[in-house]
Amino acid sequence: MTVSYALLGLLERSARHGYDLKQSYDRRFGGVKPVRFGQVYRALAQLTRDGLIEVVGVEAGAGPDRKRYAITEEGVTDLGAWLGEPEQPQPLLQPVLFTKVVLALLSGRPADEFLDAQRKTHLAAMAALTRARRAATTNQDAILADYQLFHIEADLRWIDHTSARLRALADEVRGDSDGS
Amino acid sequence: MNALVALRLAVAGGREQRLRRGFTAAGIGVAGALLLLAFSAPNAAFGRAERISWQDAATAVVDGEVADPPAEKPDGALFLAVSDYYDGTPMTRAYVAALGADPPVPPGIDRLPGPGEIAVSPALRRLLAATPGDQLDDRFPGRDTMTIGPAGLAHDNELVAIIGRTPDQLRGVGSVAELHGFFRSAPRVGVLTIQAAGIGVGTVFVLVPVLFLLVIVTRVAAGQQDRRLASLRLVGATRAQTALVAATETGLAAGAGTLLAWGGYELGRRVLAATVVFQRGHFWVEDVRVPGWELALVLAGLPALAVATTLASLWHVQLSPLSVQRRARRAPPTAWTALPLGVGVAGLLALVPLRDRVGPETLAQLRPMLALLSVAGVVLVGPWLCLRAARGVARLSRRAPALLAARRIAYDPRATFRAVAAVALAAMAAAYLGSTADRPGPPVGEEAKRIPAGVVRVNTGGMPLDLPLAVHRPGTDDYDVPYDGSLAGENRVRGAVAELMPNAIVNTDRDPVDYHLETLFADFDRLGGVAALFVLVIGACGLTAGVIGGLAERRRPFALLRASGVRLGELRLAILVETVATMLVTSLAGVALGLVAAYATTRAEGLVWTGPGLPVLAAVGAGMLAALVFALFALPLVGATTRHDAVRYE
Amino acid sequence: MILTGRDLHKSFGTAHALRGAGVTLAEGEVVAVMGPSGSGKSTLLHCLAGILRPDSGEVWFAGRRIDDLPDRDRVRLRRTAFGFVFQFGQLVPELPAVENVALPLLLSGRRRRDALAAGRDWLHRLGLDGLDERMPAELSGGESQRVALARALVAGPAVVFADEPTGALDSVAADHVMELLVDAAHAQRTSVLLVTHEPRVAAHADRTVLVRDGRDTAPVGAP
Repeated sequence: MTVSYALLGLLERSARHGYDLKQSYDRRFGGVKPVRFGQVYRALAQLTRDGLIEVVGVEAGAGPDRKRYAITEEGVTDLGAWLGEPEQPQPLLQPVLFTKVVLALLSGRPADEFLDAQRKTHLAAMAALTRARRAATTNQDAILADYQLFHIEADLRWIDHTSARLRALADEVRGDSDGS
Repeated sequence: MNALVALRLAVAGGREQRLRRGFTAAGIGVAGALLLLAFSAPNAAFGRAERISWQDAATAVVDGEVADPPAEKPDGALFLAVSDYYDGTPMTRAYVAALGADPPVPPGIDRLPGPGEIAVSPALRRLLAATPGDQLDDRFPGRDTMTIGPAGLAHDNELVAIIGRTPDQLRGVGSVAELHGFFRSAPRVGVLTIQAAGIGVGTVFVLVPVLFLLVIVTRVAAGQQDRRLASLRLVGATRAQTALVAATETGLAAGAGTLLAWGGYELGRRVLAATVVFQRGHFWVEDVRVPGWELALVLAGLPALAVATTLASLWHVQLSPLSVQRRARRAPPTAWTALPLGVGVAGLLALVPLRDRVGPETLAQLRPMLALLSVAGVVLVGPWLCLRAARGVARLSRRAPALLAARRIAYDPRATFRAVAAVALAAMAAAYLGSTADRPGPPVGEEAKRIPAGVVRVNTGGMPLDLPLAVHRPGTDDYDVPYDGSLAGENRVRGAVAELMPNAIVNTDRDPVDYHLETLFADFDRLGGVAALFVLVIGACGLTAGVIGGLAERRRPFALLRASGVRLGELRLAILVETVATMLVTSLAGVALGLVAAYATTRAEGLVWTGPGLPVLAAVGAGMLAALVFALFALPLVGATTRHDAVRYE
Repeated sequence: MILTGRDLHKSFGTAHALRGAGVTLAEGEVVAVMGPSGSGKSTLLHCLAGILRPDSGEVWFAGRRIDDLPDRDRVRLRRTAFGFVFQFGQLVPELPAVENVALPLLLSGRRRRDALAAGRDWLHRLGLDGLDERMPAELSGGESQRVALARALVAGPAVVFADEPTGALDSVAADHVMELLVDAAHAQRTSVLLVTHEPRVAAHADRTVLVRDGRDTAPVGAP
């Protein structure tokens, strides 16, 4: 999904071949996760079928990369709509941490120790990220690190908050287990 | 929100708030009491004049004519009051003779003494008892049957006798007048206008520092009020509602202060009457008071002024609740602010050469106005002077506390001036009062008329003096009677003259040389002491309030500087330098203006100005110093209010 | 170790702020003290800096025990060897920025021209060129804190104590202030004791100490 829209965005700047698109994508967005050729061609095919892009030229010669793609009017509209639509927050670690806390409380293991350990790991990660961020040479790298920092910070806040309410939480969880 | 809620908010607040309110109440009490006592001064002077106005019944001159007192009784009386001396102390001999069954009676006695009777003041009775019979009794012949009460006495030490005679005994005597009444109030003309002029200007000079004191002590109670009211405004209170809260808060302290002022005034006037000796005697406590309507006005005005001050100082909160956080700095004062002062002083000085052209009434009207303009000028130029002082301090000293002080003054010269204004204006008032008051020197040529020792000089008004040894001085109405030079000898001559010629004016070298105003200004320099006390009280309150106020504003940065290792002494030094520097500069300006005004007042009345006596200047200086020392007692507060933990949770 | 606090106890009336907390600070090291509100982290800073005297325990600075020094000596130590940054409100409102920075030098008797030159230099190093003559009321929150930072560093202290130095700032200004603090500290081998409740701020430190209920827990992070 995100890949398709990234390709649409790249095509909006100028029409190009599939090979160029993958190169551009990796340079700009690949820092998180590079894309495979097959994915690119699948996405392009899908976008063509949906009428969001069209083939504007086929060059003579061998190899798969012979078609030039360009964005359509519909493609531009669709891209704009996607960009304007806020994303639902991604619960990254939350299911795992939550499960661990509840399981720890249920089984009578020390949840606060788990949270402390988790906090230290998070803090260490933040320190490492902050160092990396300070060493970053471009603003793009820095704000990418910022994104991760803020997410870890959010987890840390949740950890602190949960630590403070651990006793009430334990009573509730154990009460449930008694009842079941 | 109603008044009850406002009251609830007003009485809330911790110990510090209560302390602040207490300080404000005390300050308003002091200021109000001083104001009332200052307003009592003219009353005391006029009251004294009124009590003895009966003595002028035969000789009062109004607009160049002998003026008769208004008739009170159908029958008449013959009357003459003669000034006399005992060992240089003035005394009054009055002769009366009733011309019918219902003659007029002077105040202080309930009937006229008959022939052979005398009425005496308590002080004279004591003197008569203590003096050998051959020295004084001849001058006061008759049985002592009556005491003259306070209603007819200038003060408790006045030496007066009313001597009863038959009409025939008095008929041939010069200057005796036939009356149907006595003056009950002094005609406020002649020399009294000078006192009135001095008092008019003096009142202006006293009023302004007291007002400043009121303003600054009121602002101490306001303290963090602007913050609290801003938060009320932010949660949606209207301007009227926050004004009500502020007025209630200040009103509580001001009300208590007004009661204190009243009590202080009632106590103070009794203390003054009992302790102040002015022109040889204490004031009667009934004279040391303000008229009822003035009392009511001041007592109503004190809280009103305090509330108005609070509302004015909170005006910026009313306009925008956010102004508490960030206030725009006002432009620094410029040298132009000296203009009104210059005009006022120039005007006062111009009165000296213009005196003959404008006439006494215009003079009396112009002078208080020019004085007011000058005082307003000092208030206006004060911040600019403070700013100059700050530059001077910054240039002269390289130490950090001095720099802190200089920057503080320069940052808000108006606030720093407010803190010292009371001292400066009080010093000005004291310099004025103390030096107008200073004894004028003898007019040129008068020295030659001194009476030689060993001679009693008798002015007979042109009648021959039939006394052995009396020698007529050619070209005058004077006769010189030689004697042995002793007090007893002088008294015997005086007794003989009085018997022979009751209306004669008798003097020796023991008498104070009365250069026509001597008694009027005698003891005025004692006012220097009162003035110094005034400077001290006003200054001490004002400076203390200023120090406390300045400290409250800078509590957090000072506390954090202290945590960073700045010594307490350095912070105290900064506050001290800022107070002393501004106080010195503005007080010098104030004293200078006071002296100029005193010079102009004295000279415009045609008197010789001898400049301030050293005692007056010393007293003013001592008052300022004492006020400063008193204010220094606020400095230990620096330690308590800037403790690190004191600001942590603000 | 330039600064060591050991087994520190401190109570205010019946409230125990510290119960055996301790921390060590190596030369040039930036250590963050974290903990929830009321955990005693600020009290720990005040004890280590000699502002408060602990009820028991020891504080050593540069090989010298300082918690039992008389107040006068601790004041001298604070002004000569320590620098301070607080959350807000530490600038003297009447002094322009450059004089605020130069204040510690002026107080220790440095000539005014030299002190002001040093102040200007520090403003420049913290990216505050052109703000020399601004009054504190005319500075933004971030600028104020950077001026405060310059003042803390101007006398070349051995240790800078920073108590929630970014507490009143947004995250961008906070990052900026922290970067400047850490860079300056590393550049002149000044140690920093940083008290904060924000993980993002603490992440700038070389090491983090967690304080809970007046006690320190095991340190975190790379040595």
